[in-house]
Order: sequence, then structure tokens, then C-alpha cells
Amino acid sequence: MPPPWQLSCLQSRLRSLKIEINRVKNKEHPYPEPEIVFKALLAVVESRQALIDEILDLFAPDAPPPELLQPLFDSVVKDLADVAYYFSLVDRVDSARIPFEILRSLSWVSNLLLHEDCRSVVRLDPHYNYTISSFRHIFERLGWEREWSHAIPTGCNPKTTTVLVLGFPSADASSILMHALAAHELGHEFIRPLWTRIEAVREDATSRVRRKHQDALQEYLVERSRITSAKDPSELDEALNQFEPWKDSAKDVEAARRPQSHGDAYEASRKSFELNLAKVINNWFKELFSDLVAARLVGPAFLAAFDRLVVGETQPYKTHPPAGMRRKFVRDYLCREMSLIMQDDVWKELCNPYENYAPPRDFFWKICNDVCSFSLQGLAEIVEAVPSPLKIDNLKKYVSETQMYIENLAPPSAVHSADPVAPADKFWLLIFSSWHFRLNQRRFVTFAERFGWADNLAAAEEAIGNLLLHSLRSLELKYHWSQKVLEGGH
Amino acid sequence: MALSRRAIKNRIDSEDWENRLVVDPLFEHSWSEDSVSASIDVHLGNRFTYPKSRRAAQHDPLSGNPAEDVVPRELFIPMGKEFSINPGQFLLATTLEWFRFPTNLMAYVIGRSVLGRRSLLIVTASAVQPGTCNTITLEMSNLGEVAIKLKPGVAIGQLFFHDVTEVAPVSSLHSSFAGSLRPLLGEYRKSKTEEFLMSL
Repeated sequence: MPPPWQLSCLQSRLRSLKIEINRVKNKEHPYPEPEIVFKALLAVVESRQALIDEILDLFAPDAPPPELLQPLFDSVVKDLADVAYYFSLVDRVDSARIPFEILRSLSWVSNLLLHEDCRSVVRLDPHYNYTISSFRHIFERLGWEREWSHAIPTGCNPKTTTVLVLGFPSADASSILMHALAAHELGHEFIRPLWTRIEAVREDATSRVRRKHQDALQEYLVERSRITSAKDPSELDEALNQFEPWKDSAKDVEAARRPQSHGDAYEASRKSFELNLAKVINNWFKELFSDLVAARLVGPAFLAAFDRLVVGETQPYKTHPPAGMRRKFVRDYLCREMSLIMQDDVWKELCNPYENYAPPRDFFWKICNDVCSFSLQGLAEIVEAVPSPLKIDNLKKYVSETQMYIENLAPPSAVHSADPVAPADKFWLLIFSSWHFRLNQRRFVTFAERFGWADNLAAAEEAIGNLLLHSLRSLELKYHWSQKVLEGGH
Repeated sequence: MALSRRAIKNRIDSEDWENRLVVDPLFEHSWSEDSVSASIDVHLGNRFTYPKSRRAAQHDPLSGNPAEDVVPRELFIPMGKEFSINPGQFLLATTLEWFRFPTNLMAYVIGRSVLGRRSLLIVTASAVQPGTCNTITLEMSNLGEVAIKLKPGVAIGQLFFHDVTEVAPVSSLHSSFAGSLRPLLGEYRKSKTEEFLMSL
């Protein structure tokens, strides 16, 4: 049973967290979207506060029975930690450096892609990374659906309304071209209803890889079980590290510790390996599938933005495949599915070097690499569910027209194309087009010289980013205007 | 000679980039080229810059030292949200519209009389030079005695256009504000004449 002092600390934490969330909630935010999250988090805090107070009142002046209070105490402490973490994701969404112009149009295209009522918010991530958090799903996972429902505005469906908090790297908040990577982040949300199909692809590919590497895998597992079963428990983590370079969960270590025979040791080691493999493959599949979603939406412009975020090669991690593998994976997909686009010299110059990717030598990572490589066909079929604006018939003409505007430092959203392009498609096409212009060295340098940026190409790129940002917002405004006109409002 | 609405429309529809005027967003059916008016409205954008109060007794924009110049603070106000300009308050704003001017066209930004009569000044440096390619920055000030409530999207001013004759071929369209989306203070760059005169 928690001592009275700790109960008092818990109550203080609940109070201070409530005050802090309220303080941030009452600040002047550029957009009202974060308010839903603040209200929902406050509801969680208040309900936990009420619960603790009620229990203490019920049993006052006697202490409540420990079998009641301890689990409750632990549960509330965990909830507080979760509230504090998720609050930290939304408490700084008002910096003037955030490209707010993009938010409403991002919500608009997210709605169309995910078939949900998405309200997008951007926060500046201190790590050099892009992230996405869908707060409705977070609240559902934590069992806080009731609090979420109460925070949703009247008239909205709590089962389909979500707040998407996108993390943009703080150090590159103004690099609008890089924010093409938002397409990858939306892929993480798009993947949810498709996960069963993706798992089937994973299973199939894993079986094939096991067959291909049957003998090597056997040797690997035998060696693994031999090394780990001979170790004292204190040395087990380090021993396992040479096989899969991270610490096993306590359960796996425990399981590996108690083999009774070589057979048991082998079996325990095999199970531990399979668990690790499944975890890593799941994580890698999520990243690769999201990469394919981005490729469907903005084509090779995704790779251009990715190269800015991840300069050079990276090693494999349990959460992410190596950068080289991702680049090759997406390139192979694009060459297959968008061969006409990939014949363009600008994209060829960007993507050809990706062919020179050397898979990792370490056996475990090699297995993971092969599972992913064998999955391209299967994942490509599943990702067809993403409507691709790059498949339109008049793509070349539209891109050419938009780039004429960029060249004259005019917003490409002003293009009056004779062949209509759907407004939401234009959002992604403008990103594609802007990157294509930027990567066309001859054209970009001429543009820079024309506007006095020959010695400052960063300023020229910034101008393209501003044109893109303005255009994405303008698209959304004109779309809503045209809807009003259709409804007879004007 | 100021351009009529019809002449402005012709510039917008021109296929020739040497003559083409781009205004974006330009909402379809929102204005008539047959109107007798010789201007088009501009709308208030979302980005604002206001000078941060500081302890210095004066600013020195000629010094070239940012520490002695106005310290700007940025603000974003979304569509649909109100804000107020207090009496005597000054801030920089931008138009919602991005303009691309050919080199043979210029414009003047003028306030709308319905707001001007209510003490809202929107511009001090009103000329939009040929070749301008950005949103237009407005210098807004409330000259009255009570606060004025505004919203982004309000028709804040109007542009009168003029042809520019005998345009020399230009190799560069350099401007400090080209390609900008935010209201920038800009760097004060002294011309040779100024340097000479200020050194006397």
C-alpha cells in the first residue's frame, strides 16, 4: 500500500498537471485543433483525481484496504505518465516558425486519404525527425475513449474525428520542400486497416527467406543457443548482443536462462530469435509501406526530401531499416510502377546511385533485409489502395505549366489548366513539381541568377518553398470557394 | 494612366510572360471586369509582424546593426479569427494574394476609404515596383482613439495599376523582398548617393 506521503505526492501531481494543461489550453493558439486534445487530457486527469479523492473519502478516517488502493495507485501513476508524455507532444504547437499555412490543406488531404475527420497540427520536434501521432487512436489504445468522446465538438463523430499531430524537425521548420515527408507520416496512419494483409505478405516472405537460408539459419541458431546457454545470467545480455544487437526483453532472457538440455536451449533460443525477428520485421514493414505510400503520392520527390533528412547511409535499427535499403526499395517500386516518370533525367540522376546498395553482412540484418526485398511485390499490390495523383494522363503538361509559374516566381496554384486536375491531387503534384524544378540544376541556377540569388542558392530554394507554401494554402481556399459557388452561396 | 478592370483582366489572361500579371488566389466570379472601378481589392493575410517593445530610447535602422534596429515579433492569425489594432499601434501585415508583376507594370496600394474613414491606415510606402513577385507588405496603423477589430481575409485595400513605358531589358529582377511570404522588415541598404551625403 502506498504510504500517505506518496498519496499526497500523487494528488499534488494531479493538481499541477491540471493547472499546466489549463494554462496551455487557455493560451492564444493560432488554430483551435489542439484544444480537443487539451480537453481530453484534462478529462483524464480530472477523472483520476476524482477517483483517488472518492476512494480516500469513502474510507476516511480509516485507510482503504491495500488490495484496493495499490493497484489503483499504480494505474493512476501510469496514466499520469502517459498524460504528461502526450501533453508534451502538443504543448508547443504555437511557435511562429511553424508553417501554419499548410495545416488546413494538410487536414483536407488527410481527410481524403484516411477517410476520417482529421485536424492537423504541427509541432516542432527537437530531434531531427518527422513523426505523427493520431490522438484518437492513442486515446483508444489507452482505454480513454470516453474522455475523447467528451472533448469532441458537438456534431462531430468521436469515432472518426482525430487530431493528427505531425512533428517537423525544429531545425528545418522553414524548409517547406522537406515537408514532402509528411506523405510518409500519413502512410503510418493509412496502414492501419491494411495491417492484416501486410502481415500475410510478411509471413509469406519470412517463410521464403527461411527456406533460402535454411542451413545458415540452423547454424546461427545452434551457435546462438550454445553461447547463451553457457553464460551466467549477468553475461547473457552481452552474449545476446552479438546476435541481435539490443537487449532482449526480460521474459526472453529469463526463458533463455533456464534450459534443461541442448534441445531446450535451442528451442528457447529459436523462440527468442523469432520474437526479435517478428518485432524488427513489423517495424521495418511499417516504414517501408509508409515509404511506398509517399512514393504513390509524391513519387521520387519523397526520395529527394528523404535524402535531406537522412544524409548518407545509416546502419540498421530495430525500428528502421537502413536508409540505403529504403531508397533502393522505393526506387525499385517507382521503376516498376511509374516507369515513365523515372525516365526523366532529373529523377534518374537522383535515383540511379540507389541501385548500389550493399545489404548488411550481419546475419540477422541480412535476414531482415531479404524478408523486405521479397515483400516488394506483395506490398506494391496493397499500396495500390492509395490513389496516386501521378497517374493522371496530363501529368507532364500540368508539371510543365506549374514550373513555368515557378520560373517566373509566381504561385503554381494560379495555373489555369485546360485539363482539370482534382484539387486534392494538385496538393501532391505541386510538391512533386517543386522538387523536380529544384533538382533540375540548369533551370534552378538560371532561376536563382534571374532573381539575384546566384550567390545564395539557399535563398532561391527558400523562395520556391514560399511559393509552394502559398500555393498549398491557396488551393484549399479556392477549393472551398468553388464548393460555396456550387452550393449557390455566392 | 491607370488600367481599367478590363485591362487588368487582360493582363491576368495574357499568354505572354512579358506582360502577364499573376494574382493568386483570385477567386472565380468574385470581381467583375465590367465594373467602372479601376482597381482590384486586396485581402488581409495571416502573417503579422509587430515591433517588440524594448528598453532602447530609439531605433537606428541606418546603423546596419540588428541590435540597434527594430526587433520584430511574428504572429499568425488563422482565417476566421479576430484580432484588434489598438490606438497608436503599428504592425506589418501582408496581403493574402501573391502578386507577380511583369517589368512593364507597377501599382499603388491604396487603403479602402470605408476603413480609412475609421482611422485605419494600411500603407505608407505604397508603390509596388515592376517585377515584384511576392505578397505585398502593408504598414498598418490605427490613427483613431478606439481599437479596430479585423479578421484575416477582410478586403483591406486596393491596387491601382499603371503601365510602365520604355522598359529597359533587365538581366536580374533582384529585390530584397522577392519571393517572401512573411512581412519582413528588410535590411536598409544605403545607395552610393546616401553614403556620399551621409559622410559629408
